[in-house]
Amino acid sequence: MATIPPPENPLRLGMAEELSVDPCVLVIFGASGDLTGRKLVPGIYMLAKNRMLPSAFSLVGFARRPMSDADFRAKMREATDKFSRQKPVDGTVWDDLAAGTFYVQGAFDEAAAYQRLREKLEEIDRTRGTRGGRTFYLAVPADSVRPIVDHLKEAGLVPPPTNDGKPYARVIVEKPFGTDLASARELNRDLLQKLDERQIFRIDHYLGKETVQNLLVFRFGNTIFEPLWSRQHVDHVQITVAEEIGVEGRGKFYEKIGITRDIVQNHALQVLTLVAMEPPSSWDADAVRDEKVKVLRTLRPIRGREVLERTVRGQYAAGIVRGDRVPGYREEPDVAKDSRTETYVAMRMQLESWRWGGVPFYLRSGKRLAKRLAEVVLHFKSLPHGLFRGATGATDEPNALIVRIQPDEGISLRFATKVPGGGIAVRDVAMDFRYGSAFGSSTPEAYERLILDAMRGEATLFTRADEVEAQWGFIDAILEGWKEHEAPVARYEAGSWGPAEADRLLEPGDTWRKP
Amino acid sequence: MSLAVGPGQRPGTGKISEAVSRVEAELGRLWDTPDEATGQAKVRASMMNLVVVSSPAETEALETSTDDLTQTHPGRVFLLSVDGRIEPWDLRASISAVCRADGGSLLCSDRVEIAFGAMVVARAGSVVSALALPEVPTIVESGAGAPPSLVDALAKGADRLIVDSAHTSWKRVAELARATPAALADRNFVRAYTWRDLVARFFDDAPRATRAIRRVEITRTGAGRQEPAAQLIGWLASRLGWTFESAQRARWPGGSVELALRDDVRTDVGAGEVTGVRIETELDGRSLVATCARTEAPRIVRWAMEGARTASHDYPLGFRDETWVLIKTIDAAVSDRTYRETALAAADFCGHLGAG
Repeated sequence: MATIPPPENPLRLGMAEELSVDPCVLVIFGASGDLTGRKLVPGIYMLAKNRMLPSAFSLVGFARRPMSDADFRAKMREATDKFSRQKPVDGTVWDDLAAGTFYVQGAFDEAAAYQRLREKLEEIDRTRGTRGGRTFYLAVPADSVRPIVDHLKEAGLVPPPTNDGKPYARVIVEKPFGTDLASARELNRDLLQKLDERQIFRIDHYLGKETVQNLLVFRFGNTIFEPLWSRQHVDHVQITVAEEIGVEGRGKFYEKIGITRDIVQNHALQVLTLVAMEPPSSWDADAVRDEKVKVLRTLRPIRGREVLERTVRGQYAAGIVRGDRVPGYREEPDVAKDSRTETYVAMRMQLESWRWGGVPFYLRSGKRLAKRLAEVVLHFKSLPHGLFRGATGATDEPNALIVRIQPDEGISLRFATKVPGGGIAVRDVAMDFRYGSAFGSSTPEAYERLILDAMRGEATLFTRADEVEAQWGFIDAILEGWKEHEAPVARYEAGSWGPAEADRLLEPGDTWRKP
Repeated sequence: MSLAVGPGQRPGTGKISEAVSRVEAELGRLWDTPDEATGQAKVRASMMNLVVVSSPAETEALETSTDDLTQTHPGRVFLLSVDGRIEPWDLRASISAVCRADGGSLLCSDRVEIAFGAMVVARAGSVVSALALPEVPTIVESGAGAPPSLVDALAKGADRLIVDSAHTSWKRVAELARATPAALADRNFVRAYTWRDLVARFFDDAPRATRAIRRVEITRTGAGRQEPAAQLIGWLASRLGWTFESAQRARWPGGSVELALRDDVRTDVGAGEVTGVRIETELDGRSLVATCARTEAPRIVRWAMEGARTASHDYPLGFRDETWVLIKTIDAAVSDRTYRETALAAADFCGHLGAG
């Protein structure tokens, strides 16, 4: 929950739209890494450009590599020039940001480095009025999270939250949150020994995407859709998260992970919760997350032999993507020639709830598929009586509502319409809403939105400990089932929509979309 | 394309409506015709109708600035003026499209420029209503040199009215605030945000000190078209419940506040800008003096408290281009009520000051 402006100060009334963040220092651990240059600092620059940062703001990079403040500023400027979503970079805005940007060199496990960090932060408080507000962004490998939090705690940099929220210390943790349920529980337990849940912001950048957030507005900010959003009218739901790219040189990493852990456990299940959740009582972080957790708890586990009937895993073979010939997964560097790591997964899920009982939720995600795409499609029930059956062009295709998460963010409603002219000819058309058309090119990057929310203490779009564990609980059962029953790994041609075996998951008459 | 009603036409002849119909038809053709260069169909992007009223001399600059705006806030833009060079009963209109490639599509907004003859100004509201896109809000901006009669004719149909108190008197802003129920926003209020933020910050940890303010002194450079201190004083008065006895004294149920304006003769700051704020108050029975003042370094303000609390920091004032300022006046609805109250109080203060 945002802590500033304090409601007691009458001068703050009516200022919230321009200043919503407490004075603070944002400390990035892993400041020399790819994520920092590619996403985080360009995002912070855009926040500064749009004057979403408080005037008392400072950025501190923390990493092993020796660098001066000037070197760090120059490196970040170069990255922002390259990756900012608005170019050219505004020199005046950048100069203001750079004047408050500093660098602290240290290893993540070096206690003395945290003392240096503490001294630097105290100096910044004195010179820039940042008032002890701290947000620590851990853009680091998963195994570095615990040591960093331990050292932050020992250095007194993450005091428990006070009732008035000032000063505050928050920690943003990048995924993966563990590699299975046991490790996630252990990580949560360790973090919660040092921090309060209100201080932990587990980031899943998918939730920062406008269309994902818009799912809630679309459903609960309109009166006309929600009545249709149930087993009464929906035949089935398809969720697709498809990538064109392969493992991009990360074969060693991917061999240990697979797409189920990499995408389904977090992004895809988060999207599912937003599609299926009940209306929350408010936009309060816990009210929204309570409803999301309920969805995960109503998700019928897929365990034991059920994995053979309700899931399909696959691995891409050589093929052609966007006109280029690409190697198969097993031909990728650092991938075993007999690898059984899945690069594709499809599953038929059931939600055991009053709203969704009997409605299949089909989910698929894969690498090297025909195109990069993420979407949710609600397929509505068929007509009870085909009044226009036999009319020219009539397909009896049920209505569908398509929520495109990326690219071309937007919403389409497919319905039948009469073709102008004599007689009755029917054709399916799409009523199309595109974010770009309605709102221009101003859509912020997911990281911009999420960094800002974390600094404001707004946790709605971050994953809570119980959500993470519920997600792992569902995924673990599938992974164990595959192992126990030696589920086959189907092969699919790169550039296709996945293995033919996935078709058997569908009810008779249903087909996977080929968007 | 350009359209004009021929000279000598008179009210009641229906010629204005004919011109409106021709503009409508041309807009229809514009959207039905593929882009000449690419052959692609145009996709309309529309969030709003933006009606900018100005003098004919401003029109060219406004074409550029509204084109920038439509990159993020697409919609139908109307650029309206009264042009003494055309016949009093004439209306001249031209339309154009502003397009940008977005993925595989060509996203376009359109722009309608209308110059009214002096005698048909009162019909501007009706003309804009006929041509405005439906289902999106109509935002009217009173730009530099905007004829008041034209702004008045449009204000009634506006969902949001934007002024700029840097060149519009507070008396006029207050008139508009009283005359229209539309939300009111001010470019200059957005520009001055940092000053309000820094003043508010004095009281974040001691809000009760707002109830003990004894004196407010504002330093500003001269030669501005309006009194630069009026906005800050009006804002403080509206937030803290002050009423003005005179330009030197405000009163509230718990006491009174001395107001002082000082001239700053420095030349490195533009004309008509606030350069410092000094507030004397009390906290827990002890004196507290809060100041923020521009330093000699460009765009830097030193913020300091002495007495009951002690602190000192430097802050950048920041530079914001006018497209950004306009976007904020369109989007930042949370401050609408605060601004309306500020404008009324600023006008009252200027009345005591003998300024406009």
